[in-house]
Amino acid sequence: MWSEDTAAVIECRNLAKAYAPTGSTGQRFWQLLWGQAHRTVGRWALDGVSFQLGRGEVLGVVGCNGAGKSTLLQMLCGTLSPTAGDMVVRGRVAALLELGAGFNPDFTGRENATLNAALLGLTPEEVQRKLPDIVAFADIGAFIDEPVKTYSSGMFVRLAFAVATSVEPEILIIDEALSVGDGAFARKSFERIMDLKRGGATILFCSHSLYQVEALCERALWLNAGRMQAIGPAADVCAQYQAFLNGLAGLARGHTGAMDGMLPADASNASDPSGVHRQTVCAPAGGGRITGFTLRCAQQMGAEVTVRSGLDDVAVEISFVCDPALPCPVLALGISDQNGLTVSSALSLMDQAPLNRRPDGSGQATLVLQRLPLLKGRYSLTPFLLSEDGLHPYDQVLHAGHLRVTQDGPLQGVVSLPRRWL
Amino acid sequence: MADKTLQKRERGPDPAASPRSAGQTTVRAVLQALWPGRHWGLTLQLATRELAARFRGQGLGWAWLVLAPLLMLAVYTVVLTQVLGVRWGTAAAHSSGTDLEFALQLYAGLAVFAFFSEVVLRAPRLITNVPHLVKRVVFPLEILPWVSALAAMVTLVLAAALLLAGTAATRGQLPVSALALPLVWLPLLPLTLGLGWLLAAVGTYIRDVGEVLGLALGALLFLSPVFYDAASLPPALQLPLGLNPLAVVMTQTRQVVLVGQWPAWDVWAAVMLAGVMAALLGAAVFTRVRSGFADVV
Repeated sequence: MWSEDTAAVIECRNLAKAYAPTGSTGQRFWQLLWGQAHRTVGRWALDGVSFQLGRGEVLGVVGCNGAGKSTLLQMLCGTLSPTAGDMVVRGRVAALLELGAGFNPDFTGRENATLNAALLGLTPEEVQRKLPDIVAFADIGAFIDEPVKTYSSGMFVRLAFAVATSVEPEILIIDEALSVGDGAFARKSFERIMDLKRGGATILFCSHSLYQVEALCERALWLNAGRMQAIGPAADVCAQYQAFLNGLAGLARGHTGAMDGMLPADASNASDPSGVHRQTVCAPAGGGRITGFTLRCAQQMGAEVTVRSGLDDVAVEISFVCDPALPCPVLALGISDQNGLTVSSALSLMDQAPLNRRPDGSGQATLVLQRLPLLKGRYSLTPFLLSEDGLHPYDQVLHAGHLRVTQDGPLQGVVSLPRRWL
Repeated sequence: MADKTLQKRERGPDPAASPRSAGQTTVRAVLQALWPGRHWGLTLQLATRELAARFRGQGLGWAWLVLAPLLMLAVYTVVLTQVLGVRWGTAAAHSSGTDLEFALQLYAGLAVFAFFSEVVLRAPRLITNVPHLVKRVVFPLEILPWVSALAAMVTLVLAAALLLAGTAATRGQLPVSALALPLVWLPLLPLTLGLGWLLAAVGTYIRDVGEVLGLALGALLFLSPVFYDAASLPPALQLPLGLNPLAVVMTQTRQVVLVGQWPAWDVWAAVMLAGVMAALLGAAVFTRVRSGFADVV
């Protein structure tokens, strides 16, 4: 029934997974032992999932917490068995789920790397051949021969990532984080995943960051309560999912999903409460930081300005530093309303506005929002500093500034569209 | 359409490499679980790591491997002979029944029991202790009892060395029958592995097994001829003792090392058969229920 000649590396048909109701594990044992079908089915974590994925395709999986994303990824890794349905996975799988979960704190980094690589399926000879690469990539110096318990969390995750990606996978399964560690390593790890992608690896990537899903994936799958809500071109699916999230945000005031969804929250090095001026003496190696954020409107200047809707221009000044060794970064600005709904955003890359960066790595850019078309309300501004291709976030300052928009007249909504009456 | 519960997985270039079917136990799958086969390298690596982990960060380190049994033996010997005034067997045996002679008799039983309990006691938590191997990677979980057994075997080999050295030192010579010691101990391997698979499989689903097992092993220590000579029991109790494979192994250990008799081969064969049956049963149960591990760990 499986077409062996197709290019599909992953095929799923009506895949379903039910977790046994808690507390009846003993019952489950006897059922498995005597080969009885499940009489007691608990929660269906996943139901009726079917899709095919060809070599080199990148599929983004989106959905709320508990939608079944992790269950699907674990089944594809082969660690969970489906309750029903068929699944074929062709090729060596590497999973970036819970990095370093198998490390023993009392052993040195080198010992843990050797054993973990063996657990991932490398033969002893392959492990010996790859070990220098792993050590070089992790780049933790003499610590490689110290017990892992003496590592900082950054060093730990560096080593774990180096081991996990050393197996030259044909299929890569990533839960949430496209990059790990901080600064230079975050970019390096991101580059490695991109290299694998360019090398033809099939990638399944699950993320809350719709921005990254759209930027990286051709196709996306939206899971909702264990069922396939949509599958198709990433832009379409993300738009549908975003609309669904906005609906939720409208229901529950104070929900902050949308803006957090734009970029992974853990990418922010710090969310400064004041967010106006952050002192950084020099550019962080291999990364960048936002160092200043100021709003100007008429005579006002600061982190919050009052703007007359449709009349005033708002100037957003963002200063940054970025490792001069890296290509010039790009800036982005997200504008969200009080519910967390992303009202609009701007990306210097899209606007083809190259930034000016001084030789020491610092730079500044001003974005002017002409005759601000937002309607009355309070809006939050979040600046982002991203790699030159706009994919890898270096820094963000959540809600660095606020706009208090006033308006004349009773118009409702968030935005005043350019319009004419004929 | 395929059967609703069929799961197909193909790994590597060979499409028929290892199709794993949930809820389907073939004889081949059970036999594959018995022997690590191509996972030997991994098994040895894990066993080494387990031993190393035990002694890592301790001042005396590996010396504990020898010190621990010696100290335990000293405590048992002193308490039993000096405090409780126990004498070995019917006093007819070899030398007068000195403390050293008592210690050797005791150690012959204790070494066997220590190996058995070291592997069996940890078995119920073998799977639950390594959730990352169950959930995060495709791992041959069936090698885990082998890992425990190999690590415990190091202790057992040291115990043999101590027992033989002690016998040679007190008696001035070793009987030729001592050569049969590895063979006498051989049935322990399938027996403990089989119990290892069985208990690991059951213990993952039914956590109470660990508690019950602690009590059961405490009782087994006294139901096996560790502190007494099997021959000194009344005839009515000889038969139930003969059904305990550990008792047979302990008695035969004393025979080949301390008495200088060759073991009764028919009894040995029976124990070996029991051990192999235990291994087959354990591996069958393990293979049958392993597909649900990830759901309950």
